[in-house]
Amino acid sequence: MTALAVDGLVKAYPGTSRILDGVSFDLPEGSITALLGLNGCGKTTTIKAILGLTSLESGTISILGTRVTPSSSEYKRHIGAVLDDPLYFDWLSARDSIRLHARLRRLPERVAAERTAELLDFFSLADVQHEPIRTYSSGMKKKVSVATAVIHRPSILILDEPFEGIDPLAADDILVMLRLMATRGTAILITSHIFDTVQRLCSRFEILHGGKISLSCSAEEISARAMHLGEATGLSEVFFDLVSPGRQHRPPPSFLT
Amino acid sequence: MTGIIFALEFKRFCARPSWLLLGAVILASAPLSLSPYFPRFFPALACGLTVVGNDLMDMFGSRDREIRKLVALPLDLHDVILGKGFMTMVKGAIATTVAGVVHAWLAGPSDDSSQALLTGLGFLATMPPLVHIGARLSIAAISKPSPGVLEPLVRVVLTLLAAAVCGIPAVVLATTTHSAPALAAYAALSLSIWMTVGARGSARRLERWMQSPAYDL
Repeated sequence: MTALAVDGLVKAYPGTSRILDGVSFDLPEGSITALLGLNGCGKTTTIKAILGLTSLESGTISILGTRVTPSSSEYKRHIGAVLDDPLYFDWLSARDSIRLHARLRRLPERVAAERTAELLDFFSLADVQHEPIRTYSSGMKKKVSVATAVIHRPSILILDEPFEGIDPLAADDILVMLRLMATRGTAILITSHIFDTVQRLCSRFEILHGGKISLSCSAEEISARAMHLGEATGLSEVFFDLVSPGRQHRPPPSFLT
Repeated sequence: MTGIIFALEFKRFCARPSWLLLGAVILASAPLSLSPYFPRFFPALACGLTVVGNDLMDMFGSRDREIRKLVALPLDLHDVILGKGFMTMVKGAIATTVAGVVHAWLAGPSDDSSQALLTGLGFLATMPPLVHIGARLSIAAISKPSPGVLEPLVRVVLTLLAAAVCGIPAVVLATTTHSAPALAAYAALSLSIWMTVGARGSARRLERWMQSPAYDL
């Protein structure tokens, strides 16, 4: 079953060309999909549209079969999200922030308490759980974001650059957690520029370029394309070939040479 | 959900209380409380209204941060407005009480407790329409693509004007009837109208903005 269906999204900011020009893709249940693209290609705008944070010129978004509008809020109970601008309130502690998200998702008090304790332990935040988030390091803040996004075991998990600032050990633990969530049916959409991690994790790839999905394929197809390009497994090479064919390295600034 | 938003705002207030603002307005209004030309408790009321006015200037935070968090979460907008509005009223009540106590300490003891009660009830009656106007101004501000240079000043003036206009019926009622029950009934009516009509209207205004092409957080 399709958890998230994005169809023909068109979005233009005033005075610019269309940043999204008919973006369409599906997120099947239990899949981990990477949404890749260059800076400014529209990845975050796509995520904002899914979360109802921006209006669209046209296009539809359906969550678990129900078409959504920016002002509808009920569908957001099924979604967990990590955005570049975090969804926690930094005057709260990590514990209070996670509990708040649990309450907003109407988890029973006992379940919320148990899951919060487990998440704090998993993300090594137990020792600082009562301190305000604003005192945390950027990596710890990111962990709080991920914890608040998964507390309710969402049907759809949207992660915008989830590994930025997170140490390798924690990142590896999160990879395992995400794989487990996918096997339990959660559809995961992830954006990241860390291609090694993305390739280890994702089963599907959507490459956004020029306002459209220019490549939509499975992990096996990425490997086949890489082989065709003379590379063993390189997602990077497939990506470069797609967004900048025949690419040459730019010469560094002359004052540095 | 209203309770959750109220609790969230209360925690924010505890974490970041506006002591500086409150101290400044109490000190600034203290001479008025000593003046024979002003009703004894009105300066305290002015303190409360100032704190509320300041809070309402930024009911939804800056356009790209707080409102984005609230919209991205599964929250009913009506609940958000009620929760934030109630906390604003509580802040105003705290400010008025603290100012009243400080002013009373400065001016010496008074047995005019009925005047204090009428002032407090007048304040409660004034709050709902003021919160409503503040919310609408805040929504209007965040729904503009970019704020003008004069916008903050215009919002301050409009909110102060609204406070004065909203306070007139309560002051008239207090000074003409001297009736605490009448003023309490007026406060209850004012609050219930805001909760049922005003807050829903503000939520609908937010929804209309979210359906418009200009909507982008």
